[in-house]
Amino acid sequence: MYVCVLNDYQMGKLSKELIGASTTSIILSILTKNKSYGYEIIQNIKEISGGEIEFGEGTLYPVLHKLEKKGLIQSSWKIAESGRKRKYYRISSEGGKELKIEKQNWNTMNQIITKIWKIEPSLV
Amino acid sequence: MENRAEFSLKSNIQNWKSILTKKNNLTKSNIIELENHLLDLIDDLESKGLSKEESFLIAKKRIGKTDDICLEFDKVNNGFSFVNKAIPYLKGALICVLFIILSKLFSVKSLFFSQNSNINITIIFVILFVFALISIFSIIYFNSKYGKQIINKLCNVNVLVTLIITSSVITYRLRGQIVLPRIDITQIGNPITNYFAMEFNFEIYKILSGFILMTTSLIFFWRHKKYNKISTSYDDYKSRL
Repeated sequence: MYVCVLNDYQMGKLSKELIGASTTSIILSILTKNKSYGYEIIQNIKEISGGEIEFGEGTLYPVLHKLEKKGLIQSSWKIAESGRKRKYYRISSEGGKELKIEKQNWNTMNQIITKIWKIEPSLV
Repeated sequence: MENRAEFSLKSNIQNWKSILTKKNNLTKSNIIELENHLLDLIDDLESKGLSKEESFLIAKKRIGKTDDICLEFDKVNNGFSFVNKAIPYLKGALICVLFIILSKLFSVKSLFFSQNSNINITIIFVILFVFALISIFSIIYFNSKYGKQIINKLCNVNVLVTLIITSSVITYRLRGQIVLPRIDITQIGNPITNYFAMEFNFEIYKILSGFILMTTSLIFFWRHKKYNKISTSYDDYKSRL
């Protein structure tokens, strides 16, 4: 596991596990700014991460639907200029609360890792 | 050449969609969402100078393998997958019940007409048979003319349940108005003493199982419809008109 993560890190790519763990926080953060649809969310993720985060684009939708089931995001269908039906997602008040917790968790994790790496620099 | 490429793109998208539809894990709205994503990707790649075929192949690859997509969607749509798989079996059972009830209705109707008019029962049977044949052929004709819409609509659970209930009510009402030939079973040495009570019990079981089958089918049908519902924002739709 660690070897795999280190290999991915050395190759300049993030591991699937790390991407999976951060997906909820990333999606909620993107939706905080504006309501958005699947394709736009993926483009935003690619742009922000500089292409570091890449996954099967079709698998983003089940993640969005899971978040919707949990009540963290809400969705509505709209007809775009092109005439295509688009499902727009926006963050709910529950999602906002969840994002605060996620931010705290990631900060804590960041502090812990930074602390460990400062004490044991050989791990970096 | 250009038209041929466009046609090919449409049929390829259609094939990709039909594979997703066959998998039972994705709702109609899921497929529309994925299709729009694919189209957005194709537009984006085409604007970068790629051909339609290249754009389609890359976009399809970026969306991911259909098996992977279905596996992920199955985790979210587990209720829908079960309903989607069960509906064809329920439809089959309902069609079978409808066939039995319609044949009963035909025989009761024939007896009713023969008792209430001077026409021979054989002629009534022939007339009803011709009527049934004309109905079947007209359904096949209109279906081939307007696509598969008519048979699909006729095989909808709510249509089948309505037809079963209506046919049953007509059959029972007609049965009350005709004199059925009765057999005295005591004369043929029937060992069952309480035959009519037994027949009555079987009738109750039949009605009860029919009721359970129809209720289950209707619940599944409405759940299936609810899963596939796409509620488009009315204001947006209105502003586009």
